[in-house]
Amino acid sequence: MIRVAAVGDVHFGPDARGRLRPHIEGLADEADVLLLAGDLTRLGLREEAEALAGELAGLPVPAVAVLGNHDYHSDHQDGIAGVMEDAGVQVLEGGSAVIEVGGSTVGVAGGKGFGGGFAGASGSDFGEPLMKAFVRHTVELAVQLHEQLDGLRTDWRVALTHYAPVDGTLRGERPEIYPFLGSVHLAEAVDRAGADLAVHGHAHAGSERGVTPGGVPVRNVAQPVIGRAYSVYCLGQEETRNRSPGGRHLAVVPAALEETDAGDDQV
Amino acid sequence: MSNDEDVYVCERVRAGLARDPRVADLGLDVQVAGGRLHLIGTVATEERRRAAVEVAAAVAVDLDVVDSVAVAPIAGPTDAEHLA
Repeated sequence: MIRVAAVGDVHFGPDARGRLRPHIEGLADEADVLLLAGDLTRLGLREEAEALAGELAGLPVPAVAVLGNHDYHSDHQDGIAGVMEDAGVQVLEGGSAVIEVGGSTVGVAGGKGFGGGFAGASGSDFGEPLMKAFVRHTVELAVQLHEQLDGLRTDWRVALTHYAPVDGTLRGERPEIYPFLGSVHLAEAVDRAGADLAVHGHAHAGSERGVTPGGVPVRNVAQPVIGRAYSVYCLGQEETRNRSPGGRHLAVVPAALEETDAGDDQV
Repeated sequence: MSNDEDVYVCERVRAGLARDPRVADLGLDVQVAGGRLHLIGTVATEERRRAAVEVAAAVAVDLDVVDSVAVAPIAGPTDAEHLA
């Protein structure tokens, strides 16, 4: 069994020092790994990341993070990632990490993700250059997520993004802004590659629990949603399982991801 | 002030809350009701709450601002959820 602690949207800054630290100190009693689902900062400033890094100093468990839209706001995303890496947090931007826990392995494939909307109402790679760039950015990140997930040969696999892969965890947000909160392409990547859990943030007014069309549990861990320092999800029973390469997971890149054409209604 | 104008004032306040570095928040709800501007939601710190109210008051100069912003504490984890 792997215990995955996860939280997103901590929006840290110097004024928030001390808010997380008491909970981090007891983390090893609750979880085997910590996932941070983006929006580590408010304005994407190095000093904000440094404040969070101080809070996470001496982390008792491995930690993996992705960045969020706020972390890009000041164009210092590389610096933000560097500060977190220096603090011992592995930052994924289209990559993956493998963590060993008591003889089992959990693989985390992650990246920011992006918006675009959900089934039946998502943007298409069509029209003005800005619109095409918007949709292509989403599809490119979804392709990366699929490739990284599909390449993991671990007992457990987790998809970590900032943007949402499904609209089920957006319930509570105004439907008009769903296209800015996530994309169906992320769900397709997760379902095609297969995963045991998909974790995201970004939707502060959403809800915690959802599922992809393929049945993968999705959890929105934005801190305003979960209302606590982190949530913990346990994968499996006490014994672990071994997954052969390929296994139940499809190794085929879905056409929509390959061709960077969503094929959905134009909006 | 007309209802039409209320809509635009709320949008300007929302833009101000996002842009002001002391707040940088995209999630606060802004409504005009009963002739007053209501600022509703939660933020992480008292400093951010005060700044949000200041931004709203500076933008919506003709309206009283009703501060319904809460500072959310961070609770410890609850029981783990078993997924598989």
